[in-house]
Amino acid sequence: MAAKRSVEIPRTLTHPQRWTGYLAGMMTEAAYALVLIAAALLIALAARVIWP
Amino acid sequence: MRLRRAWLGALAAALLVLTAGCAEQHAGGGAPENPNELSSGDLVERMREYDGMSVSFTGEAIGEAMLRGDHAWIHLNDDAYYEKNIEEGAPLGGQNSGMPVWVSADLARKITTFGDYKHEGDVVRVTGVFHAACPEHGGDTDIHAESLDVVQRGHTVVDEPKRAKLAWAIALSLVAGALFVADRAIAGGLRA
Amino acid sequence: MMLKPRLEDHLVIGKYTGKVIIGVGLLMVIPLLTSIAFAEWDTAIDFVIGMAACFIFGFGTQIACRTDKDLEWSHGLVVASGSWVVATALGALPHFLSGHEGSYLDAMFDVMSGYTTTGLYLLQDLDHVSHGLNMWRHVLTYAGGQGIVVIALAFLFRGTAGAYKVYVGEGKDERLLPNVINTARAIWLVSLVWLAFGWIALSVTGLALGQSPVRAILHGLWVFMGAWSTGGFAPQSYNTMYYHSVVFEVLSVIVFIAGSFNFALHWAVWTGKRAEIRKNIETVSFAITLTTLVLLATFVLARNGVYSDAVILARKSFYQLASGHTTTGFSTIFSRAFVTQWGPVGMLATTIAMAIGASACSTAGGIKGIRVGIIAKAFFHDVRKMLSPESAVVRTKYHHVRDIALEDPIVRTAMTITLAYVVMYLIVTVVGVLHGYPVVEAAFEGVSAASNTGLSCGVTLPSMPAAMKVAYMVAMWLGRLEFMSVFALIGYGVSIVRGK
Repeated sequence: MAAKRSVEIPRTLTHPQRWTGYLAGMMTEAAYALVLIAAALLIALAARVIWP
Repeated sequence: MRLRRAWLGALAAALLVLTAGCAEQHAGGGAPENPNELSSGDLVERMREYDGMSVSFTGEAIGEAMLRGDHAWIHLNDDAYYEKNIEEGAPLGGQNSGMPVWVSADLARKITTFGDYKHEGDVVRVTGVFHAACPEHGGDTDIHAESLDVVQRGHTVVDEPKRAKLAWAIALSLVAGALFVADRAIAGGLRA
Repeated sequence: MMLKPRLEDHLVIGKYTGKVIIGVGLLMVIPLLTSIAFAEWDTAIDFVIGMAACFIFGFGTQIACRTDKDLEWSHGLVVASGSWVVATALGALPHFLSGHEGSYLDAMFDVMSGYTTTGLYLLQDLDHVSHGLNMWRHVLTYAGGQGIVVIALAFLFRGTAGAYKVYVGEGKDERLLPNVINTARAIWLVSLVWLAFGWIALSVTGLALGQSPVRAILHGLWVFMGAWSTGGFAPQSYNTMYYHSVVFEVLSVIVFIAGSFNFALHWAVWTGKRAEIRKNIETVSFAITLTTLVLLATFVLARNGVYSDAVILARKSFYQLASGHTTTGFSTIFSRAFVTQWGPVGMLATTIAMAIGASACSTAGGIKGIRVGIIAKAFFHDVRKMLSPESAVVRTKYHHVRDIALEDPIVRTAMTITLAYVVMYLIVTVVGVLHGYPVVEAAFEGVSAASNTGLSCGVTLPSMPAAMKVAYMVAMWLGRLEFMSVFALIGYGVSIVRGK
């Protein structure tokens, strides 16, 4: 019974082959946030041009 | 069936106690007076008016001094706990309130104790310019201090374990343990 | 006609609620160990009491409610919403025993705020709180973000078919993997991998910013948990203004934006469908609404000359808006500064951001990007239909992991839930106004609670009327569980009395 309730994540999910994909995924997600920050900077620059 | 009734009864009793606990607790004694002519609350409430003004600000140094080159960030709280905190028996007096202060590293080193769970920090008086949105520091609200004096040294705070709580902890743990054993035993009994 | 629940129904609900609460008790091991490690003995006792109370409820319920019946839909919903209430009542014990709460109601407010990843708090003198209690505040918000039921599913439930029903009850309806338990585990995998990277990055930054190693490590962990769960708790009363650093701000923005993503999106991006990040209806909708609101707030702040240069303007405006839109609640300005510095338009932009919220099936709250996206698409669909010849067939699709045809039932559901959120926002605002707060402040704070954001303009204080505390707690609970399971719980209560 105890084995069935094992708390470890199934091995298929943590297989070493998958890790490069996971890391690339994280990078993509971080890039999305950085793009939004860049957009905010552009907006702020425009705002300063209009209201110096 | 009787077991279930007893269980429901116990839950209902616990619920009653909980509801009673929801009543406001009236703190005994008053909070200390704010040490500042212009408190942190006043400064934030009328930011535009006080922006760029030279102010003198007193408060308990909390957290730590974060050194950045030859300067440092410190945080001074002028709230109800600047002389004595809850662990030492101070009455509840609302949430924290204070001001970030940018000060030279040498002045910051004068502070020896910073407020946290185990310490009541030094009470420090600074004089400097208040910025509603500091142009040097990413628009943060801060005070750039030119002078810093320790008004009162901080001290260590010991939060003694309360006996009554300890007794409750032991009693409840025993009950929890007994229920765990009973649960396993019944489960085992059913399977067999 | 309502059916009166039979004994068996009560037993099933009791059994699984008990299991979830045992999970909550096990969670308290983390703050307990923390307080022992730092020799905070009085705090350690608080956690022993808290754990014992959870185990007494959990095992007591298991003994009293012994059944082999599996969960049905209505059971799953009731277990989910019911466990949140019990978990709040019992999880509040350590808060209350610490002596930092004005009443047990305040303690429960803080815990409900934690589980629902809201971030408003009534705790007093946060700057003198023990590491153990701070750990508990952040662990419960991290756990609540993933869903306390998801935890129990991942680690405690045996493979029951009914498990999926509790999972849905907690406001999550995506299957990342065919099996719900594996889905729960995949959610935890994503959260734990991000935890490892985010914790290290924030701790190293904290160290570079002048924190001592121990404090940098603790603050890194706590700020990560507050950000990832879009919770907004932070270890000091100054929130993230405490760190005075652009690097720290950018890192926390990355973490809370990633934390606000749909777990199905995470899984798609992590398993190779990287284009999903720019095609998904939710990321597109989020980018459009956030950028529009940043534009509004930035222009108003620039016109009023609040901030002196463009970088500062971008930093302040984007940080508060992104924090509001992801329903995180971190802020780098004083609460009252929203009123005294940002003014009504800035507050309105933030309120709209909070109201919309981030992605469905994530840690975030609010109406959610998928619904806003679907409603916008439906609107343009209708316009197109009106403009095309009568014989033409107009089809609209939206992309969420795969292309899905926009059909009326989907639009209808999105509209109903959106309407429910709008009504709730109105009600909490009216409650605030009735208690004498100005409309803008009442709306800001009310929407913040109901959308599980946690930004405050200074309304949420220990001295706030108890009726408002209760109203905010109910709003947090409804908003987080997306109404249905709470209504199922109410229906369950009514049917006990009135059913046949």
